[in-house]
Amino acid sequence: MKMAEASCPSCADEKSDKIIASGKKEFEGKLIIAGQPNCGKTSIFNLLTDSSQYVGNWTGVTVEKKEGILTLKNKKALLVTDTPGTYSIFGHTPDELVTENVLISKAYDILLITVSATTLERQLQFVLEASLINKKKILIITMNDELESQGKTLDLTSLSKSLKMPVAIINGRTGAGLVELKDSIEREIIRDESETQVNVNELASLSNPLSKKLQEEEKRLNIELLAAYKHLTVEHADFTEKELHISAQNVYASSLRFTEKKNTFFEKVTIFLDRLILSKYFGIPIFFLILFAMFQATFTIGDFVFSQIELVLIYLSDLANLIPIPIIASLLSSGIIGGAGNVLALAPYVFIMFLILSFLEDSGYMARTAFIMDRFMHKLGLHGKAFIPLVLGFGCNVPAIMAARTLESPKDRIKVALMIPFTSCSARLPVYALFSAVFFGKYASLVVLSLYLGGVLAGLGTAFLLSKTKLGGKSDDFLMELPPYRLPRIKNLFINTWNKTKGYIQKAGTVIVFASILLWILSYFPSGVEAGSEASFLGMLGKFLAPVFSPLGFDYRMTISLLSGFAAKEVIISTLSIVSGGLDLSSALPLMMNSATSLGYLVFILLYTPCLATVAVMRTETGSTRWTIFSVLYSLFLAYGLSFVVRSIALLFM
Amino acid sequence: MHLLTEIHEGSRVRFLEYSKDFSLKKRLASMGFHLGSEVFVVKNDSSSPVIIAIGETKLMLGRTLANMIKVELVSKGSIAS
Repeated sequence: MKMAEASCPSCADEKSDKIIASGKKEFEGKLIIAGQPNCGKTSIFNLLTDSSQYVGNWTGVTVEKKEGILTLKNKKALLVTDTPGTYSIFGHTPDELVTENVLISKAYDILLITVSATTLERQLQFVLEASLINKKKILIITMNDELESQGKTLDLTSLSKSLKMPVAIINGRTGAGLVELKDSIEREIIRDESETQVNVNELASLSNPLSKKLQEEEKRLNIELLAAYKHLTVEHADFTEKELHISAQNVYASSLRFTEKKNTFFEKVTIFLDRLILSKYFGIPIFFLILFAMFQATFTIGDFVFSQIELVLIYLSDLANLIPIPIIASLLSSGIIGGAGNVLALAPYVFIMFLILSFLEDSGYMARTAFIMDRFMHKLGLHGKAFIPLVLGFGCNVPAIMAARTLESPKDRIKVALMIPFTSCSARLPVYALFSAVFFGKYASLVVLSLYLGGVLAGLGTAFLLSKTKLGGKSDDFLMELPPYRLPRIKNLFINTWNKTKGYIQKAGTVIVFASILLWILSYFPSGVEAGSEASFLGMLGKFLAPVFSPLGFDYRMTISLLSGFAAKEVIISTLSIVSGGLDLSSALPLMMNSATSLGYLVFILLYTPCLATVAVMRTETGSTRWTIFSVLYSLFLAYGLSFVVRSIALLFM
Repeated sequence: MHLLTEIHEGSRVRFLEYSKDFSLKKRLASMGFHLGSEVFVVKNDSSSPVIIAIGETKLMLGRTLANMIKVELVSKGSIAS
């Protein structure tokens, strides 16, 4: 399940565009990686491009686009693009349509078709479809070791001959076979393209019974014709499909050789794990146990690293305060170090959360949550597949909303997009971490866990309410592959996680520095006032809005922080730090609010609009301004109401 | 002829026909499940999705979709659902 990868695609967008723009001049060729889901495309992409990757968006649509640079032995640089996995060249869901458009555009030099050896028979249908595109192609076979342990080997010469394309075997885990693949790419890139013409007669001759009919009917079957295939009559398309299926079976049968079966250990492990994980009774408890472990690990490790970085920040801030010019000292210590530095220091939490989510995806567990939660999701008028974007929301809401593209029904996509903002993303996590450590001591993790659960409940409640509107109605077109369990490759995990964390850090280094400086200016002027006080510009703005929030017990500083938090939730920390006038937050926060109010404040932060990027992506993904505005207003009201209730109850006990 | 949802876990069945939905047929075919294919029923517990397999490919099918698939029993599974 590779549903969404970028942490904050809007941030990386610019850089990726630059690559595309320069690509026309600098690169000596373009490669496209395509294949069915779960075939190891990402491993191949990571192996080929190593660390030179850029994540951006496909122009016009918000589905992640991953590009990287492959440098050959002769120093030639090639641009490699990974595409969303698809079962057929002709897409069904919006993310698959992206791949369809890329493949049919033919704006590339070599198509790298990736297949896994263990499911080669069915994947050959895809390869045969792709073989009709008049472009140079290389077939990359992954997971061959798994096939061999089943007592089967592939005759590569025969396979290459039948498919008329070079075949390379790569071990995605160890990288064995990479040198040969690069050599093959080097040979293909300089080869004359006209030799690639595929003759449909040859393809048809692979299968006997129907080939004559095909030859008569479609002498010049090529990709343009096939593109119209979706609009053909049922019988016609049916016929093409059957033909492909039979061809695939023949190619497979002619290239498969049997050897001795080596072990069935892995099979037994899979059966055992699935019996447990997909069990009617244990499935859901195990899921919650895994979630709990995920948060525990994130906080335990995150707290430790953060406290170390915080020491450095305090030291730097003290150093900056030694500067004799007060305005510069203040800009550096409370504006930049306090504002952006604090956000940067919280990056370890984000990293660990993404690392664990990547692990769950790569291991095959994430796909299984769709099965486990299917029954429950039906009560909300959704089905199991809709659950995965919600879990991905724990990382970042933006790619999670994009991941809703894998759902077939437009109604479901809107519903899920409206639920996702309530799943606490990793940008909210630092805020919780900070507050709970200051106010709740040994109950900190309980408070944070409750916030996460509260968010999930708010999302589910929202879905329930929406099912009573015109978005209601049952949807059950749940159809999804159950991938085998795999031990994720450590390097892949780190590359993927780093790509996502990089988004967070880049944001802290650019947008948030800028926002911090702006906020600092507003807090420092008019000149002569105490920084961040009610007399500063920021204070005046806060004072103006404060009456709205006084029933919740929020003062002008907390109000202004919420306002800036609209841009991104991390900015709340920057703002609080700037308005507290140079004090470190651990000592400043208790002066600002009591613990009951802080709880209400956290509830508000949990529920109101996560960030501008989420609003923007919601607009493009749902295609509806009305639903987007609804989401913003609805979450504001919900935040206000529940914050009031929680604080009122907490005041009785605290 | 049975509906896929009525089949016990561990059975082998052959796909015979789908009720009208053409896109279902195309989607299943692209995942390697064709009419006439012999399919193993891995899991069917009367409330969760049905899991079916051909070789190494396993598929989860929502119950509504599974109800659209008519199958013929090839061999009966031992585990009752």
